[in-house]
Amino acid sequence: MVSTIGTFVFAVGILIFLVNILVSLKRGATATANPWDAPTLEWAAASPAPVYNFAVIPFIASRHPLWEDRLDESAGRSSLEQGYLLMEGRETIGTTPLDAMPDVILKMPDDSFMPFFLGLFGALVFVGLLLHARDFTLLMALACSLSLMVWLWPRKALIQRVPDIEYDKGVAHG
Amino acid sequence: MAEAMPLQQPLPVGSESKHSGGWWGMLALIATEGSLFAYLLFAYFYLASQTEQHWPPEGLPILFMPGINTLILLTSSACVWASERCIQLRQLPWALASMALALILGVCFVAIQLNEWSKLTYDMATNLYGSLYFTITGFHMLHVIVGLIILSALLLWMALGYFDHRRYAAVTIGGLYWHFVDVVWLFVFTTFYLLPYLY
Repeated sequence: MVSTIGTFVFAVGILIFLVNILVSLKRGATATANPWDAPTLEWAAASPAPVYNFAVIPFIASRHPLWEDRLDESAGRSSLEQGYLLMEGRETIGTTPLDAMPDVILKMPDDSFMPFFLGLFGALVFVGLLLHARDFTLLMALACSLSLMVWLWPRKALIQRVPDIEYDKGVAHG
Repeated sequence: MAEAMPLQQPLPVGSESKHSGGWWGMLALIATEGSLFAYLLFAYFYLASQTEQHWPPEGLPILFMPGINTLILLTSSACVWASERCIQLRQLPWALASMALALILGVCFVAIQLNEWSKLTYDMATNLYGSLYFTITGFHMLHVIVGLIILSALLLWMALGYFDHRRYAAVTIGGLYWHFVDVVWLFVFTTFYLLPYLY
């Protein structure tokens, strides 16, 4: 008996939800980008959000970047329109650990097979240990270190090596 | 909390020595490996304080060769530091020579240490002290061998002309690891060779 009543209460709840969908489809204003006037960054994007979310990496100066003018709790102002563009390949910003100030523009690596090989040879090291096959284990450990070395090989694209371009070019993306 | 954000400030791009991801990654690795050796040395001191055995069972260790070996490892670390300085000062041939010397000294350390092991009258399974000695110096030896592979890679990359006075993050990061291995050896050396003379 109690569970039957519960079933109907539950069904009415779902019905209200469905009615809400139908009514909302027919009438009412379309929601703006920030209908709740919320303070945080996700509400700063347009609705529907573009695939890139933000065209530049925004600078954030407080916990409530969209309420800064009203709260006036700190001297700094967040900047959502101006920031680092980072348009030369895969790049992201590195910040200082505590203050999160922009510190370096990091070049992100491309896809690589080396993690797969490292995992494979790493597993084979343990197979070798289980089988007490000393030479095989050593060989696989060597293959592991070779994979790691290829993985970490300094690349020009990541500017880990002396680049071809002249220095001082491409330093300021601001 | 926040200051005005300087937008015009140019930032370094790519692997810029102590700003690079690898530098922070190496610091994280050192934190974990340092913890490993801290546990191992704690195990040594705890078991030494609890045991009824005469400690060390074979009497006081002979200091001469391990002492020389310690000096060799310290010199090797100094060579890696000198190599990095030489790159900064645009002295690439000297940087190469210094790194090669560091590598050779590292190999010498391994050879002398293996010889020390072969001279011992006990092994891993003989007694408590033997287990501790071989576990801890063995773990350190593994780290030295990894370090030798890193130094070889750095030497190769230097010889291929990958680094100059502006781009040498890999040398800084690899060098940091080698200095770490060196500092760990100082703790291991103090624990096994120097402290037994004090009690």
